[in-house]
Amino acid sequence: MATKAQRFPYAVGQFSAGAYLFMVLLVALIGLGIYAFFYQLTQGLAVTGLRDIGTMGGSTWGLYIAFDVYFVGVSFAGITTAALVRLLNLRHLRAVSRMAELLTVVSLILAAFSVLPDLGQPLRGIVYLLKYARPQSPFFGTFTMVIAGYLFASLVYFFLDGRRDAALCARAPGRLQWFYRLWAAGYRGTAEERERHDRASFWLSLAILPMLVIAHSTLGFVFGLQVGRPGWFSALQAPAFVILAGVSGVGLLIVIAAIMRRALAAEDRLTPEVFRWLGNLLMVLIAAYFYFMVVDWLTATYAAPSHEIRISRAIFFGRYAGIYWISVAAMLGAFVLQFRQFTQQRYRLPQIVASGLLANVAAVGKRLLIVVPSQTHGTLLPYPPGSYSPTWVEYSIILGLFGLGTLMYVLFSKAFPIIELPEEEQEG
Amino acid sequence: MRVVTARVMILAGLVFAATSFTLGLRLRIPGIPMLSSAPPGGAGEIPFLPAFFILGIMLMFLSAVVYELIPGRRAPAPPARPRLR
Repeated sequence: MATKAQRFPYAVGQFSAGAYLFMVLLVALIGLGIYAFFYQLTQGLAVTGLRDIGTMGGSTWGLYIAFDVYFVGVSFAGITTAALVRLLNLRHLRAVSRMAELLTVVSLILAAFSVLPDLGQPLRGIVYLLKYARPQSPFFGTFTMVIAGYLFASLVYFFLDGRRDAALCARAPGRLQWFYRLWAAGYRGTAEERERHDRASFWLSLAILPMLVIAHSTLGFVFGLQVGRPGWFSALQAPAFVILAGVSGVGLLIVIAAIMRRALAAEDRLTPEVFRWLGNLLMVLIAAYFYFMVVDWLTATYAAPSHEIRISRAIFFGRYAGIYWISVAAMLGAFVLQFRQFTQQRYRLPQIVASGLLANVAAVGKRLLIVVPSQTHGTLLPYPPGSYSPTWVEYSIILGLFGLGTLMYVLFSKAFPIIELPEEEQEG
Repeated sequence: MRVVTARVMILAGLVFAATSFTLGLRLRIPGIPMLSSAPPGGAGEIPFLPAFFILGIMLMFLSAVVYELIPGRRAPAPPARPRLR
């Protein structure tokens, strides 16, 4: 009879003092975010740096929307990687598949949460969107496709993909056995079940991919279809959103995989081949995004209307030049790091991780530049240029969201194998 | 049974989502004069259409869960061996 709880692989159920300390820090961050949110809710949006466009010389969308777009973008990599692993049968990437799926789920939840503080009355916003949103508006697409459809599809995929490992974990007695049994939902690992899962996953992946492109494009349309807002109205917004989503998501996935590799001593599963593949994918996506950036540069500076030129000047040489050039330098750095390794065919993990980090720095900067300058410098009416400076309330809420996302990720990895269990254990 | 249920869910979800989307767009649909005569962009649309659209999409993806979780038909028992007299 088994009296001692069996040790699960990949540090499931094991909490070190460091892990506890880290979680306390994350809870403190979440607490700060909640305090700031309720402070804003009671005092109004006046405590943020958000102001009306034109009349108050401000920006109605700021840090919250920039990070909403960032989080939605990050979610791209997760389910794309999982779907590609399934569709193209990339077996060597299976080790990052669950990490990627979890990244999608967590970042979509964070995206939903980051919109809420931007609404003066969050509850009213949600109810009214459910009640009155119209398909003509891109908000209909972001609300239904991204938050509901995309998140739900990812959860379904995540649930079905984890059943096999849940069934394996349920064999060992422990406090979470009920949870594993619930998740496994009667999975026995028979040949018929495996075949059925393969078929369902294939079709699910096939259905998710186009929805993902539609969802990200719709988010781009929120900006790209606004004809009265110079700097936003562009046919390139939607495809550029999809590509930048890939850049930030794959970059973050590389960073998370490297952390997990080290923390869980999973060098045998998260092999250099995994990072080489992800790094090359990141390089290709960055190259594609550079193409969009250059096209954007040319269009905005060659013979653009005066309003477009005003925004371009503010971004290239004015108020936003710092963020812009840091973003460009970070993106270029990420590309050069990867390209050097690609040409030499010698890959080093620290360099791949550094390029993933740099890509995310660039992505955050670019998101801010997409959201803010067109509001402060893009009015068609003769208002003077405005400005936007986030306050401690906005920073605290964003920090709280990062804390929440990290805590969800850490807690899940302590409750369930974050790396898919190898095939041989299946027959066990 | 399992396959049929999943397919019905996909179809129902598709119809649900497409109908709510179309009604939301207020396209001119022959045979539905109420909608055809409605002024485009006017207030008083059918409420909660986005919720129905979301439900339709969810139904489609939920079909994968149904497909995997509902047990399949048991394999027929192997034919009995003929006995030698």
